[in-house]
Amino acid sequence: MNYSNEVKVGLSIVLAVVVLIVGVRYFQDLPIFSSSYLLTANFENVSGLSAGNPVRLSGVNVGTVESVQLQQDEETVRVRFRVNENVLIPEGSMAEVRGFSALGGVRLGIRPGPSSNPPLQPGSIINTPSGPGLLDQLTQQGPEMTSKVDSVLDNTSRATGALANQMEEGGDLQQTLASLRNVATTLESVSGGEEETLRSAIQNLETITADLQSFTSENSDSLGVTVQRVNRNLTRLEQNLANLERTTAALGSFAEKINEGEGTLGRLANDPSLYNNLDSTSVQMNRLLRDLQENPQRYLEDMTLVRMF
Amino acid sequence: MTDRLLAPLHAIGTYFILMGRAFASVREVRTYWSNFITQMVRIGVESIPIVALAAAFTGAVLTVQTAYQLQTSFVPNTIIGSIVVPSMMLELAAVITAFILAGRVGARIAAELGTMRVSEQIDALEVMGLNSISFLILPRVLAGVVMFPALYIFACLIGIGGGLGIAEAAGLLSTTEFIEGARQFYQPFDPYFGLIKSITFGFIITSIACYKGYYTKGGAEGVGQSTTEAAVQSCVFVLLADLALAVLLL
Amino acid sequence: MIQIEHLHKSFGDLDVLEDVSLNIHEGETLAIIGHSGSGKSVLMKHIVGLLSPDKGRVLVDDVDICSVPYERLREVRKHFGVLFQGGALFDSMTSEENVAFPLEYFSSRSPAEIKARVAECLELVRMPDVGPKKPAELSGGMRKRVALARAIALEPKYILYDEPTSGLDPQTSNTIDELIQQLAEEMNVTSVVVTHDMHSVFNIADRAAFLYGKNLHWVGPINAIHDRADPVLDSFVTASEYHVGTHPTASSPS
Ligand SMILES: Nc1ncnc2c1ncn2[C@@H]1O[C@H](COP(=O)(O)OP(=O)(O)O)[C@@H](O)[C@H]1O
Ligand SMILES: [Mg+2]
Repeated sequence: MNYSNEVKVGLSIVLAVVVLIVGVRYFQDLPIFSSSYLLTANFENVSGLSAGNPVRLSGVNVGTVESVQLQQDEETVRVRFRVNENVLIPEGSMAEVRGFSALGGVRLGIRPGPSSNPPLQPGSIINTPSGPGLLDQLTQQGPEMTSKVDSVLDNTSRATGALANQMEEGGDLQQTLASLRNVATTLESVSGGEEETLRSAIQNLETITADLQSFTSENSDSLGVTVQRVNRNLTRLEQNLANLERTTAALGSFAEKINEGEGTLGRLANDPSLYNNLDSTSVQMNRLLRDLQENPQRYLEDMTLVRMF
Repeated sequence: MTDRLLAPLHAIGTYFILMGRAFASVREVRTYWSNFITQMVRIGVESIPIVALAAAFTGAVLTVQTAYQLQTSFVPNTIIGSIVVPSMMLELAAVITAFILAGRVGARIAAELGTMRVSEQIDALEVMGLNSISFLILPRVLAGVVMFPALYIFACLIGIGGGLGIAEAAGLLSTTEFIEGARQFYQPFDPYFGLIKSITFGFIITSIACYKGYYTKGGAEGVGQSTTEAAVQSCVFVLLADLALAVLLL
Repeated sequence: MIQIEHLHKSFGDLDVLEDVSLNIHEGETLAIIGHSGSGKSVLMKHIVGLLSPDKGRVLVDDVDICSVPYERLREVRKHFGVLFQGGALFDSMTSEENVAFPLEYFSSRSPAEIKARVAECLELVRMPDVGPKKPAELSGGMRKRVALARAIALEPKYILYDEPTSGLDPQTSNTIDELIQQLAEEMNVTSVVVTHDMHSVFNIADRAAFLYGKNLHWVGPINAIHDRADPVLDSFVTASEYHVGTHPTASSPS
């Protein structure tokens, strides 16, 4: 035990520094030897949440609140919090403030989204429960959704109807084929890209039904969960609608091009028969295809052109 | 009369000139290095046991008394951890350490330098061509500034450990509750504030003791007087600095 | 060559020295004598700049040590060895470490050379065996001799002795006197001995300076100390001689 003074001093200082680093990380509730990542959530009201409060996932401490800032211009409160590196939070998870500040027990709770979802990336924004309740949202958005679907179908049928008409009148074939191709690719890309979304939308609708069923069950928590999920599904549906709108817009601009064009295409714009329903659209499409089968030579010279595209 | 009024100003001026001269020679590492190491052992390493003892008891008593004060109210047990840990980090670990060391280190330095002064050892150093201020004062003050934060960190660790231990042993609350409470209100600045305090206190205690010892007059009586003054005045200035830092930094 | 010119010094209301002038020549041994509290130590401390005068100046080899910067003063001080009244050994160190201390800081010697020089110095003061002992374990006379070994370790040009024999038994006093003489002769140092011990003065000094009533009352060669009609000096010298009694010069008054 006869160490030199240098060793004693060195040991004390090194120990002190280690205790400081480990202690600070320990009380900040960060894993002592690994790092953490940052997430952001925007709230309307944080009920007294403050920097240093714990973040819990399924009741387990997984990080700490780093800052709580009032964004006065946006009328929200931005909460930035750190989550331990080894805890992955799936997309679609919800952050919410829990506990009572009067007892000092305020914390940030995270309701995990479906575990099949990819994890949230560091720096991303996590969803928070938004204001109005389920029924409000349904009543608000119901008519809107219906009208949107209506207008999509409307636009589609208008476009295809116009095409069909043109086929019948035998106008500028070359141009018609090119336009047709455009419609086809657009539709294809829409259905291709949206396939996944549509499928999950349907899945989500199923969970809504399931949730609504368990709504009546005695499980007290399920009410909240249900509202969450329905909310989430509505968000998804909204996204789907946005995509459909984009399709509509594409079709619309196609129609505009036709409007601006000369000759037979110009006439298309004012044709009253554009207002047809989806059924008649498919009928006309069928007719077009049949015509193609029956009179291939009529289109033959233009086929090379089609292939070129 | 004017002498009485001017005496404190004279003391303040002498003190700051002394510190200025000490730090002016900070680059003459060769002069004070070996003393620096020795003083870090005497001021720091050898103080660890007494600081640890005091911190452990402070933490334990604080925990028991906080639990007692809160026993009838409708607050969760975790609050005890939320009170004990920041109290240790912000105030007690630094101030308890400073008070113990004002006696242990401050008195020692003042007595040592005072004896060297009255037995002409300081003159002997000077006459050899050595800068006695950089040789004697600088290493002591530097050692205080370096070792006090380390002692503060140990005091925090052991004080909180003492609180945890007594809480668990007396069945006041569980370690998990204690730690949860501590984390609930943990402010990242707390330990750094404590560190700033401990550095300040380390400087105050060692520099006042050096000043008192270096300018000791008379014989054994003068040494005794310097020693007492060093211990008392460093406690007073530690308290003043504590308040000043709290007002300025919190 | 040390020149003290019109030196004034007071501590608060107490005037200790008033208009003191004194020249100390190369190679001589000068005794500064006077009553206790007459200001001998104060005068000596001015010579190495431990005290600074209120008026007047002190020149060491033509350097005014009262006005030079501190760093330059430190250089000048390296030519001095000072034996303080109580020895002023560092009590945290052993005798050997005390003697080695100035060598470690101010010489470029290797550790082995330092060890050899320490042994040499302790041998010179006839204390070869006290190396590992701390000052507290030594008697007063031993402490003074170790302190002398430390003062001469760097082979100074000037050695100042502050009451080297006070409080010592006559035999040890004689040993110290012999050492002072030996150093003066062998190393050709200039010595200033502050003392009120006339026995020592007659043993070692070439000249004497009598400090009385805030200034130098009498300065002259040691053999002229009896050839005067000065009642003050006379009573001082006689008192010492009466006290010592056995001294050869005392037993054969002129
Ligand atoms: N640092 C000091 N402060 C105040 N008074 C002092 C100081 N040093 C010496 N004195 C006073 O100066 C006078 C001469 O002291 P000193 O030179 O030590 O006497 P001595 O001739 O016996 O060596 C004494 O009265 C002493 O009290
Ligand atoms: Mg004296």
